[in-house]
Amino acid sequence: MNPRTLYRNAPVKYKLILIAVLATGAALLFAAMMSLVLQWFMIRSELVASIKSQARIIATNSTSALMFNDPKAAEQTLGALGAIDSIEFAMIHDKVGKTFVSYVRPGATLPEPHQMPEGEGYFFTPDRFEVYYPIIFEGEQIGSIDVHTDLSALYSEMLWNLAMLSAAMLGGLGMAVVLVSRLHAIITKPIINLVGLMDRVTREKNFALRAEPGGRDELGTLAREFNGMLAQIQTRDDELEQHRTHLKQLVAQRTARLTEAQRIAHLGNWESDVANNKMDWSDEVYRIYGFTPQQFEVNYEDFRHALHPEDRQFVEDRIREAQEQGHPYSLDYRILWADGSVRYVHGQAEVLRNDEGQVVKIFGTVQDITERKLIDDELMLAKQAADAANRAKSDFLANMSHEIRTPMNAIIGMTHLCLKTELGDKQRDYVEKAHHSAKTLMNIINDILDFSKIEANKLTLESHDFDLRATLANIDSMVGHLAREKGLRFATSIHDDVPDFHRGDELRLGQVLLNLASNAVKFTHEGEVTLSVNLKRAEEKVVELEFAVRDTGIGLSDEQVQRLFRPFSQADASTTRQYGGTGLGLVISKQLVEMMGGRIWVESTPGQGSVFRFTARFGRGKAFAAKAAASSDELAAAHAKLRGANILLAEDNPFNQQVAAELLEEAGATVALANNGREALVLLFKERFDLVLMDVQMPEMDGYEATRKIRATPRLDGQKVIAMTANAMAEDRERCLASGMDDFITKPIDPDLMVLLLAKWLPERSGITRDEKQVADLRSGKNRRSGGDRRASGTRKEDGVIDLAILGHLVGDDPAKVRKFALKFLETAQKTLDEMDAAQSGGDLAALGGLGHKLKSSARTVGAMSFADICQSLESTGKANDMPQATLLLGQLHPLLERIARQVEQETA
Amino acid sequence: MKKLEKAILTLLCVNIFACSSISAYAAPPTEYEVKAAFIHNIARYVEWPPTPDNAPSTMRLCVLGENPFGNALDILHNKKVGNLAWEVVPVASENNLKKCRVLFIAASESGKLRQILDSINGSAVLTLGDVDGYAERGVMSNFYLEDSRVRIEINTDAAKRAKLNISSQLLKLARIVQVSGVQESGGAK
Repeated sequence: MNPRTLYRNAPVKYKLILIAVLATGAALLFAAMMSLVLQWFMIRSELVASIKSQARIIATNSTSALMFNDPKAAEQTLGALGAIDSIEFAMIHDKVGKTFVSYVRPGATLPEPHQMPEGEGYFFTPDRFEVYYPIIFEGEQIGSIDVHTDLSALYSEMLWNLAMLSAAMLGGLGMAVVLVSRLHAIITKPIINLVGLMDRVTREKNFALRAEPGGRDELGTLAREFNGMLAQIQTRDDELEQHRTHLKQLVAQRTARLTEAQRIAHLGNWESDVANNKMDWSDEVYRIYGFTPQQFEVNYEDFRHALHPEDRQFVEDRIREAQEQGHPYSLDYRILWADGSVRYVHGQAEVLRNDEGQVVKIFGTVQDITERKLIDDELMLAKQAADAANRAKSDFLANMSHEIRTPMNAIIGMTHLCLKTELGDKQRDYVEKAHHSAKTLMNIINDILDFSKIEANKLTLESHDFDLRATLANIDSMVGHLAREKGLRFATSIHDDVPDFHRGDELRLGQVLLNLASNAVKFTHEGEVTLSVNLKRAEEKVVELEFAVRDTGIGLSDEQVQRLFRPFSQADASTTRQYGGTGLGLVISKQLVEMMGGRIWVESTPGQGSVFRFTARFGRGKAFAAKAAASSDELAAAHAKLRGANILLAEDNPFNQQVAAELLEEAGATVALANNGREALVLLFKERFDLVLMDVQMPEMDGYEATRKIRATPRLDGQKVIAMTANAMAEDRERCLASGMDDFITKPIDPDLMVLLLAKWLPERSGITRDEKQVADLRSGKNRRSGGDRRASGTRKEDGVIDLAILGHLVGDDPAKVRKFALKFLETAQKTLDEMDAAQSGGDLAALGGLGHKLKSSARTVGAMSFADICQSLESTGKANDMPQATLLLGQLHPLLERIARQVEQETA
Repeated sequence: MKKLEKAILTLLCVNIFACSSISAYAAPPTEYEVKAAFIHNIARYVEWPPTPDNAPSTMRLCVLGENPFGNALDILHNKKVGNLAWEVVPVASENNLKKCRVLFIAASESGKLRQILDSINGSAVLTLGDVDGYAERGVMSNFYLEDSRVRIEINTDAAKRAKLNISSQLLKLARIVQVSGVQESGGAK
């Protein structure tokens, strides 16, 4: 074994002994060596001194013997050396060096003769010591003496000394060992006691034990420090115990809380050991999976069995992904309880990797979401229902739009036509009022529809070039005469900086201006209304304009201003009663202005008037031909262009057919009729038409399909097709254009608008030029129409089940035609009623509704309004699947038709 | 190699030793040459009483009678005792012998020894001789031969009477003759 290790592991006792031995040994050895060396030198110098003195004595005593050549005497003198054992040989030489006498110790061997140095001295050889001394008499050397001493005595004496010293040393060492081994306990005993105590402390974990402190030396200090340490450990131990107890309580408390929380939340947590598929579930997991908590030790198979069979594969795939790729997952799945009930749970899991990155554990939570799931399902159903209802509302709105516009079309069209006939003043007044009311109503409806579109974010702005001055002139022509009629001044002004041409939605801009201007006129009783336009900012591609409509009307309070641009609110409720209107105009204006990149605001003082201002941004428009003629001129030109044009009208509704046809014929166009798309195609193949006016909704083949077919036919290349639709929604227009139609006109048809639109699309025909006279006629006609408001109206119609005047207007008040159409209606209606009865008895509500829809349109055209209403109800009932109601309604139709027949018979007889 | 070196060295030393011996003893000293050397040595072991007012300038050796030394005394030439150089002077018995510091009394003067000794009685003169019986007859130092080696006998009484102090070193080597009180009694010793 390594001596160092041996030493390190040796008991302290041996260490002490070793130290004592080493220390004592070293001291003794040093002392002994010093002593030996000193002795050596002492003995040697003594020897030298002694032999030298001997030699000197002999030299002196043998002087005379040498001088008188008396060897005997010299021999006697020399013989005295025999007293000293160590001298083995001595010799006296005469002055020439010859041996005079010599002494040899008995038994000693003579050294080889050799020459002695001159004078006095001595030297050592390994085994000898030689002293030489001159024999001098009165300053004259007469000889010399030479003494050889054997050193063996010296050596043996030294050896003896060495032995004695060694013995003394050994004795000293022995005593040291004995002393240390007796006395080591002074040091080691306290240490051993301490070690024993430590051992006890370790074994018994009793930190209350204490060591004997002993004296004030290091060992005592050690014991006291150890006691101090024990005391500290005991304190710590106590504290630790307290902490542990506290922690235990805390853990128990927290665990209880957690368990409680899990129970309340129906949320459990679990761990899965990937290596052995063992799982650890919290109590709640057991409950969620339909077991009693801690019922059994779970493994992956138990978990797997608990899964709903339909979800099992899915869940297992996710778990495998988590295991293999470490993807956390979060998913919903179902659990099938032993009693067959299904629970929905939400599971989330993450993985734990070891240092090598392998997934060793998956841990996660599972939450019972069955209740939530059920609520979600209900919510889903409710949302679906809401969505359906919303769709239904949209559909209803679209339908309403259509349904309202169709009769409005008739009203406006008929009153328009009517005003062109010879009428008494009273009659003309009535008709004009009716016409005006219808237009007002139309505006309201348009407002509502616009608002709906804005609400539904379905309103989009057009973008085309327009002449702002023409737009203002238009406003002037529309509002100016109203103002003047009220005795107000109306003026428009455009700052010189404002460019003529812009790019944007002229119609919507006009709508806003018209709204503001007509409002201003409406709320102003005296004074003036002015409309001004200023350039606010001009950029390279964009121009920002500021419009101001200033009036001297009733003005607005701050409170009123605040409510002004909110939907459905006018300045106050009384205003509505006094001035009418929907209250939507400003809301729509605000939206439109904002869509045009601007804003609208009002500055007003009650009683002094208001200024409505708005800004709008437009693109820079390209200049185009001076189309911005006065609208009347434009209209005249349009009429001129229409004259002689060959137009195909495709429209299924006979009455709308008639209205349109008569409008066109009045303008001088030739009209051919088709009842649906198919007929229109047939006619188109036979004959060439300048333009097709196409209703989009027709039986057999609708307008869209017919147009597509036209576009697909090379022979009909370039055929102009204009759509007519009661659907005012923007998507309808897009749909029209998408199917290949050139343009779009909304029903009810505004005659002027229609003429202008058709003229736009009609090809220029040779020989037809603008006829100033006709233009003048038209202008006068127009003037007559707009100005002749004080004519007497015709006899007031009797209240009845049918208003034949409506039909009369359509057919140009030709009694024969009225009777013909009326009888035709009666015939059609009777036939339809029979079909309805059949459908009713067959329980086919859908068919019944469809028939109701068909009959409704015809009834309205002939003026059988109450009949039409019932038909409409029937149509709704069919959609609502309400058979009892349908039967009730159908039952009303038969007697009503009989009454209509009677009235027709009376009035047309 | 070392051995060889040592051997050569040893041989060389022995030769040198031998050579020097040969040269030194090429002619072994004669009896009188030895006696001449001894005279010098004896003079060195003897202490004369101080004579401050009449200090000798030389170590005068008076040879009385027939000189037996031949030219052996030449070795004393250039030698000194203390700081006195030897002066060898032949003398006769009629001469004032008190002026001598050392007086060698030759065998030829044996008959007149009494008178000679009386003439110098009380003077600090070292008397020498080489005749048997001379010491007993009052000569301070007398040479004799023993085993053909020259030896010395000393009459310490005579030396005392002459107030000469002879070193014990010399006395230790010599045969002491005492005749004070009873003649020849010491000589027998």
